[in-house]
Amino acid sequence: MTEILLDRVGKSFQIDGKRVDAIEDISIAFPSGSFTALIGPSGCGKSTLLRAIADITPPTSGSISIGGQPPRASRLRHEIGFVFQDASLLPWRSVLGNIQLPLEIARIPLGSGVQARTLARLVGLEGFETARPAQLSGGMQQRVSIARALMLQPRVLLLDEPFGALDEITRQRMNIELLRIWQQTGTTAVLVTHTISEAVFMSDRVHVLAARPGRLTATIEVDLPRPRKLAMMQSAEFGRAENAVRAALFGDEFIAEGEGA
Amino acid sequence: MSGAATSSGVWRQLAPPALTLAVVAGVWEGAKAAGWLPITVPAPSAIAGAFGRSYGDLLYHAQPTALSALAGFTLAATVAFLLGAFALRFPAAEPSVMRFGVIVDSIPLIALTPILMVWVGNGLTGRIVIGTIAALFPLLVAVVQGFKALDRTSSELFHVLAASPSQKLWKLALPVATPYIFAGFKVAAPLAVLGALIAEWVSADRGLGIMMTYAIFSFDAPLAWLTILAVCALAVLAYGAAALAERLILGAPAQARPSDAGGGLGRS
Repeated sequence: MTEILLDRVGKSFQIDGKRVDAIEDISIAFPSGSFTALIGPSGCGKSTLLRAIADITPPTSGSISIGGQPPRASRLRHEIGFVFQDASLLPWRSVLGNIQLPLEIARIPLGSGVQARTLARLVGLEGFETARPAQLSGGMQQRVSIARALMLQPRVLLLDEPFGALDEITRQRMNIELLRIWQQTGTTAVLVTHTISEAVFMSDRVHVLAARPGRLTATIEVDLPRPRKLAMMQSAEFGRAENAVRAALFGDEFIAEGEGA
Repeated sequence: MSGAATSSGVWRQLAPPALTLAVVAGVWEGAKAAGWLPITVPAPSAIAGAFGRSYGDLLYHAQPTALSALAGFTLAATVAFLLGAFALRFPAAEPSVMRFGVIVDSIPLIALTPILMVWVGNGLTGRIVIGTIAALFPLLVAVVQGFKALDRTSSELFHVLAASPSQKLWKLALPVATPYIFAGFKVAAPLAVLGALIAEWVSADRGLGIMMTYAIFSFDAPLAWLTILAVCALAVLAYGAAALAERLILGAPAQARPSDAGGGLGRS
């Protein structure tokens, strides 16, 4: 079943009176409960696409639906979880206070449904519930932000380069944890990234975008079992998928260099 | 041990201004005794004498001034907040709001006050209005700038969470603007005192302003200087109250953050 459907989505901006196409005619179906990555160079519109799904900046052409509804309806029903590149926590609130923010905004009593404490434990922040964001490291801040995005058990979890600012080692650990959390929640996840190995390791399917204008150039299926383990990065399937993504990203350059070697 | 350290710390803080004050008073007293100062400038001892004579009067007149200033300040803060919230909700209105603030701030109070007194009567209302006008602009600038300090991601977060405009105001914009607003408080609080004083100058039956005019017109230089010092003290007190409120609400700056290496990865 399809959860998110992009139908010939386009987005253009007016810059200095000139029309600039950020995205052109992108159609993608995201299956329910799947983990999908969008990868591409800077300026390919992958973040723009994600923000269009979240109804932050609507597309200028084409249509988007989440569970058959327009994104605006889903957003107003609190069905979208969004993790930004920087954690964007409220510095005057504690860890728990930040995780509970969506509950307060949706006017849901704190006692009902998923508990913020349970989520804090899920993202590995047990014992830090009363800490302020300024007392946390970058990785821990991003955990809070993930817990916050999951607070209202969203249908879709949109991740905009969530670990882009973290070092490679922390990032790898966070990825494994994110997969573990995702599997427990069963939400449909879309990850925007510009790291090939991350895209392949995390996803069932990787969509490769090209820049100027942003368009879909290839879709690569990743046939690896779940739960994913670090060791799988050495498997033949991982290498194949990684190479397929790299080939789609670099196109002619990649082939030319390969022949020269 | 720690008590002794604290009291010596307080002493170290208070000693320089106290010493400066003593030296200035001493030089001033000496200059007066030497006959270098005009008749309109009394010796500090004469001002102290005036205080001894009429501290009861001073207290009696300081009360309505403090009250007008406080009420004017509160009203100005309310108006600034409402205008700021309006500009936050409708960003297109922000230039108009700021222009209104500049115009209000440019009104010559000394000319407006008599007109206003004719209009609303020479009671407390007029004095509060003048206090409000005097304090409004720095508060408006503080609120508007504070709301503008909102970063884009936080705004987008509240958008994705489907927060209402009022939730965005109370849960995001106001906490973000708080440091700016307190800076505005510190500028505006003494201004409210001066506004109340100007209103009393023009028309009042009670207040430091009227006490000051009486003292001046009866050629009582020490008393006139005493009222000036009392207004200064009130203004400093108003600033101090704003600064104290800031300390109490914003608290101490946050501590350093640990690195990711020490950040303890959680397990389930």
